[in-house]
Amino acid sequence: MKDIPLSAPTSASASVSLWQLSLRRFIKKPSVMISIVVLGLLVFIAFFGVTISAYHFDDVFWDAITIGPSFEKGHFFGTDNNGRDLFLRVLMGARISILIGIFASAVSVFIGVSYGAIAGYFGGRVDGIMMRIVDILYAMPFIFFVILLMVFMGKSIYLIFFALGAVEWLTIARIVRGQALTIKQKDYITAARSIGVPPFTIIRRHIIPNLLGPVIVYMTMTIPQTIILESFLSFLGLGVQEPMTSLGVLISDGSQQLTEAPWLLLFPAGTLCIIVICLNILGEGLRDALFDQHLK
Amino acid sequence: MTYAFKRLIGAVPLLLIIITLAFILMRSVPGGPFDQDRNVPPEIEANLKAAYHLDKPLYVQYLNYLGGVIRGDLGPSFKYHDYSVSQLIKKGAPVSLRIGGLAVLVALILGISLGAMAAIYKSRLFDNIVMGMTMLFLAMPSFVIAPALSLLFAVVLKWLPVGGWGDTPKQYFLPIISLAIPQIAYITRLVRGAMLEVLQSRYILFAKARGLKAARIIWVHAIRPTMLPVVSYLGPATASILSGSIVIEQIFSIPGIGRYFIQGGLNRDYTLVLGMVIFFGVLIILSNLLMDLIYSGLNPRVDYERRGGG
Repeated sequence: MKDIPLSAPTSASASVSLWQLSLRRFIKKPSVMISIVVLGLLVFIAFFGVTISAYHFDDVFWDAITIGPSFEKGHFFGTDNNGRDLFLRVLMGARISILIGIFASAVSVFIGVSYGAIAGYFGGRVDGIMMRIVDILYAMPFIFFVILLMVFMGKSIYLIFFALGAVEWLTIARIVRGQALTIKQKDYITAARSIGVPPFTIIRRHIIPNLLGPVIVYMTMTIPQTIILESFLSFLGLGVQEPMTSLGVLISDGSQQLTEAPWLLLFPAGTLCIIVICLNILGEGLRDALFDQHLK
Repeated sequence: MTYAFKRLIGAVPLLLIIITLAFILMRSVPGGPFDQDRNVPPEIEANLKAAYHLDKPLYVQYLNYLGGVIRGDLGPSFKYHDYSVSQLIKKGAPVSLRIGGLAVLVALILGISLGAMAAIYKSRLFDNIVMGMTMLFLAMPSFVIAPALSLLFAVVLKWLPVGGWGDTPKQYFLPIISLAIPQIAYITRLVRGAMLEVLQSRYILFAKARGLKAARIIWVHAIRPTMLPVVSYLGPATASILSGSIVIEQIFSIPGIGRYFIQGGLNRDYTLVLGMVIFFGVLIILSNLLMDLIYSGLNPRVDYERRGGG
């Protein structure tokens, strides 16, 4: 990442940028460090474990149908009622869930940042109308629209990105707009305007880089929400479809065989919780580090 | 009072947008409600369509539908023959609303008391335990908690029934707790944060200087401003409990309205899904409105009148 001028460094010495200072504060917390390690490990296994494994996540073990977790047989998490290894399936599900979380959040951040920056920078009537639209959308039962969309438009994975992104961008737009309103009063914006830089170039080159801090924090907090939302849709059978799998699909399958095979619920659910907890801790850690909140 | 009235009027266009969007969305995709049935002769299909007014131009259907909504008539269900959508909602809504309402109540009581206590014992053992628990439960959506609790209390311990509705009050426990837990976690964090801020303010210092008892300071003086973020969260909380109830009703096989939403969608039961969207939309808009009114009542600094209707 380029060296980004945030605002005048306050307490930093000449050689340490504000970003580096925040980064130091961020990784000094033990909970943050643990989350990074756990999440990193999980992501590493999820992305490389499936690839290097001798088996495909869809392979059927005919001699091991619905068996509990066992190390001797090589099925660490057991198998499901089709004889598929749950360990591989959980890894695959985690991979899909994380990918959807990241991409859908990126979509929402992209929409939210552009929208909010434009509203905030232009201000006045443009701002009024654009933010009024956000207010209206906020009051909509959006999750129901997403469900409608998934039900009627068929269930493609790209539509999930789009639908989830479309739900989550509103808050980002509000945050960004607020930031843009303050940033545009800075002298360097006036300077840029006075030498005739066109508005959208100013937004792209000066406004957006300067509100990266809150956006990064918010994006870290959006990813776990998106993962939960995706799992919710998949749980209802509206998200990721067989033979592809996600944590939501696995949880849904597991909850239907609770009595006979509780491990089918517990491992995917546990994995989902660990991912979300780690991301939440990272998000809060980042927020505290970047904005130095003592209270929470 | 005029503020309340203004807001109520303001909700009308919002509702109109919701209805229109849902209507367009549903009609713009291929496939009709009678596509999945066995092949019927074209005359019969025409008759069926005529009976449900599907043969008229789209804008006529739309206006007809709007007219019906105003009269409280959401049309006939395409799949549940002999039932109108209003009847289906009337049948299921009391069950869903009771579960949802109780879940909100439980979440409020536990969330506020836990949050306030955690703020009082900040950084001590109690606070750390509560904060750790909320971290855990924020990561567990209702559809994870429900089967997990069901496994523990119904399958392993056999204390509570696995599901069903209306036989014994014990059947209330698991659905309500599953819905409430994520909200409890969220409210606890909100209250703790707000309480910590309030406890540092000058009027609390003054109350301490006057020698008031700690319990009185907390539960009489500090609690009121602490309620503000909670009240504004209740709008989104209602929405998330409503969507959560869709899953919960499925897991515990409860005869509420949540299941109509999914089934109606899968069956392309246009009127049922539209009716559900409208019903949920009205509920969410009304709850947001109510929360705004309570908020302005609690917080004298908010002057909606002068801001021209907020």
